[in-house]
Amino acid sequence: MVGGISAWYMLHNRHTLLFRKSLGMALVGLLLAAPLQIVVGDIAGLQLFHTQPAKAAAIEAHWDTNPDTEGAEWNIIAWPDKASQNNTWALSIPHGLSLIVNHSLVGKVVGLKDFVPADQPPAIPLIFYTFRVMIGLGFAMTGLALVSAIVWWRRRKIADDSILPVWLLKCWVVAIPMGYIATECGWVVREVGRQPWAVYGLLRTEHAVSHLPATAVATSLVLFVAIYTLLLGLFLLFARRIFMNGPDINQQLPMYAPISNTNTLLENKD
Amino acid sequence: MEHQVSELLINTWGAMLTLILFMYVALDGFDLGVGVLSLLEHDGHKKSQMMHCLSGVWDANETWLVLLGGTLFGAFPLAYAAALQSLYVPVMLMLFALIFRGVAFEFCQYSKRPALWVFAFGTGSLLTIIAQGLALSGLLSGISLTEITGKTALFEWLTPFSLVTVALLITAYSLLGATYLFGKVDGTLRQSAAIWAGRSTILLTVLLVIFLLFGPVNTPFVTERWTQYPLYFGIFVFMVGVMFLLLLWSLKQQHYSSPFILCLIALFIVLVGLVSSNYPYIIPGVMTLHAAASSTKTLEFMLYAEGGLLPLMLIYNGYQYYVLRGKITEYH
Repeated sequence: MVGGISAWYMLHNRHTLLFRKSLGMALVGLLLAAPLQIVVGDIAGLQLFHTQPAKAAAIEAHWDTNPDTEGAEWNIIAWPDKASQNNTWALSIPHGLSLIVNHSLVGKVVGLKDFVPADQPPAIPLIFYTFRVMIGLGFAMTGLALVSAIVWWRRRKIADDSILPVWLLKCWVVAIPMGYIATECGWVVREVGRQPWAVYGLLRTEHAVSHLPATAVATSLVLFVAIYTLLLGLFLLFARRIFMNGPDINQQLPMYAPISNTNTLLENKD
Repeated sequence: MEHQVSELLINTWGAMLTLILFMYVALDGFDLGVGVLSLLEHDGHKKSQMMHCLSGVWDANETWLVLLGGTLFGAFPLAYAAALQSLYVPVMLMLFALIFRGVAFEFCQYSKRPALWVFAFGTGSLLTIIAQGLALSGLLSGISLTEITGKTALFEWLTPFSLVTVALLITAYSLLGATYLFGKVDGTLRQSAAIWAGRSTILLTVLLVIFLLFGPVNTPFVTERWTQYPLYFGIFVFMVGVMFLLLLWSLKQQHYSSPFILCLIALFIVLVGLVSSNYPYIIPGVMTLHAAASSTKTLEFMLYAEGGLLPLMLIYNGYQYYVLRGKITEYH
């Protein structure tokens, strides 16, 4: 977000030196965070195969449990079909899934068919593809950080304000929504993937619902959607206004009132 | 032994919940109150000045509400489930009101019509208090919670008693807001704050008396307890009365911070009185602390986690008020 906005200002040649600094900071942050995110994701993913095997199998559209001595294949893309309990089609890498889960070419990975259909998550294609979108965006952002770091390093001697080429700056602008989309996709995987359980293996969602009439819950849901859509619209409007105006470099540091009032300020009693 | 330990834990959590409730009402109480008062103020400039003196603290104040919900959920899950289900309408109303109130602080400075957002701040505050009043009266009268296993009556909290409670909370929060403003601002706004504080003190006294007369209708066991220990509860009433008289006096003396502190002390006394009237119930007449509590292990674990965090929150909150101490004066 910070990097993308900085890149946008640099593309428009506004306050370039200032935003070169903030882009640099964003780059350092991304360089540290993105690879760490991949490592953490790997650890969490492995944990998932132990604690919530049905969710993990749904994420990878893995139907049949393979024997311990064989490798499970990893579906890069596929179309899982719950009705036929199989993938309609799949493009996969042999031994791939065992490599991911067991970090070895062979090894048992529990498949979806080990669970009766009532215990399998619904909407398996949704889980499968939102997970892939999340992972794809994660690697895209890591790649962006690495490429930018290399280019930056090569051009570090150039005092010129164009530290990054225009195409790379444009990539940063395109990347602004990526983090949000990846987060939302991850959320979908997490929540849809856990179904039909509210607490995995212990409490089914249908048993966890309140006794409230459906109309009451529906009303509040509609209101939440309406209000947050309205507020999102307003946020975008105001954000646009702020970005178009740009930062006021000559502004003094606020003394007390952070809200747009210039004629109040703090005076201590003494 | 095991039994005694768990009783101790349950009571400890009951006390913590009371403390968190006090912190919430004391802190968010004054900023909601300032919001309501901003609806009474006609001058647009002063309205925004009222908003400014909250801008540094209001969101930290609201964290206590989150902590209150979280603690109730963790320590007394049955009460949480029952209360939030029966009080669904007021709680949702409160959330929507808080959303608008929260964004108003941020959007106000970018909008071309800030007055609209100042208005959203005021009405959001008022609706939040109304919702809290309805929820409180629902809890105190217990009626709405008796049928939680069957079909829930969504609007059972709407009674004459609930209207009294709503009026009581609006007045009490306004008093907190007015005394806070009184110590925070200068000039004509301060004079207005003094008038608001004086009026709400008198109105609050009247409402508290009505509230006390109404109470027994809903919960006979409270009346029984009051008649059993008239001295104990008499002292509470007496102390609150003394606080209010001191408050009126210190407003007249133009003290800066003491009116607000006196309000907080009065609030604390009222809260302790309320809790000791209804103990061991968490939902008066319906559910005891014991019946609503989590397992001993959960309570113990929570005590280490949250018990460790609570002092930090108090210190941080205190430091925040120390940094933002002093007055807001108009700059000439």
